[in-house]
Amino acid sequence: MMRRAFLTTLLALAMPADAQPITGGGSGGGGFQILGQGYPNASVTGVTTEQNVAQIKVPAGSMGPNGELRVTLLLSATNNANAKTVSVRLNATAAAITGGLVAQTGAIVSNAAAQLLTIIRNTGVTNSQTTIQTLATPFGAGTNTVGPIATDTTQDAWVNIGIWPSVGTDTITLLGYTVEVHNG
Amino acid sequence: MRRFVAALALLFGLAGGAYAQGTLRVYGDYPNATVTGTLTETLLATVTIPANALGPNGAFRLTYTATETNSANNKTLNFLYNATGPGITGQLINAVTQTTNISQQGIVYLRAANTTGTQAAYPNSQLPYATTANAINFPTLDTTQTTYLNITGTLANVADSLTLTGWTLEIIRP
Repeated sequence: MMRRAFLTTLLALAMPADAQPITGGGSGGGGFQILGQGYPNASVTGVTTEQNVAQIKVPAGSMGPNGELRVTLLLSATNNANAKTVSVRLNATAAAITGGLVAQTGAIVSNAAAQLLTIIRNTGVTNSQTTIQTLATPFGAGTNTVGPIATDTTQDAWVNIGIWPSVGTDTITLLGYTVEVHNG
Repeated sequence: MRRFVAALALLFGLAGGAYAQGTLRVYGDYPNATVTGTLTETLLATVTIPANALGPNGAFRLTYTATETNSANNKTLNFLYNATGPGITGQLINAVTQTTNISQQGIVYLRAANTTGTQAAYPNSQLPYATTANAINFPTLDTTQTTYLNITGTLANVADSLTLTGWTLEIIRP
């Protein structure tokens, strides 16, 4: 008993204390983990409605009340004046093309490529999320309405990526995606 | 010396256990390397990507910072990806030219294209999350072998200077 107390004290003294503890927002343990990363190289052409081209599972409980998802996409598109749209959804079902919309952009206009980012945060609870709905300008200020959506992350959820051109003769392609999670 | 140690850490750290699924490994260095007094393209840093670090669906995300003379002359950073080692050769996956600024920060994002023989790199590191009229670059290196990202600096006026201060490399494995 004495020896255990002595060793515990010695260990406590030997371990450096944080100069300034970080408070709030979960335990601080762990970093981002990779939920999914792929190169589907999936194209949509000939239709003008949203087509799901990737579904990444967010396992139940992987987002705590302060958890967040970081979704990065790489796309190419026909370079012309017609809109080509990308949507990112967080749904309770895979391959959904309705509901759970966290970010959408129709900004691939007169451009050949895009690399897009959205950060989806739980709002201190496990069933409400916010983001900024500007995939192409994820940093900076804006006037877009911020969420919330209400996906229950204590259950399995899916990040669904949808793409579509506004003119059927155009093409938009999801080349690659990365989905990172921080439990929070 | 510090760069050498960082390169060794990157090489052996990744080689020692790079293949765990769902991981993100972070490496970094502060080379603080400057080109000045010459118009010749000059190597500022080499980031070593060990063999098999990426796999068919891996990626790397390199965040860098640099400072430069605030003048009207071009100061260019090139990011050259090759299989041969440190130098000023390789497939150009990103080029950034600055003029009347004093500092910059960017992200070079390269993905394996569902194979170990082709990669895709977004061409605009200064606006890494945006749309662009530039085409995506598709290097064709064999990432089952060691590859290298060479960061070089080129001036248009010898009186200017361009300094690569720091970089952070994240290896992302699905």
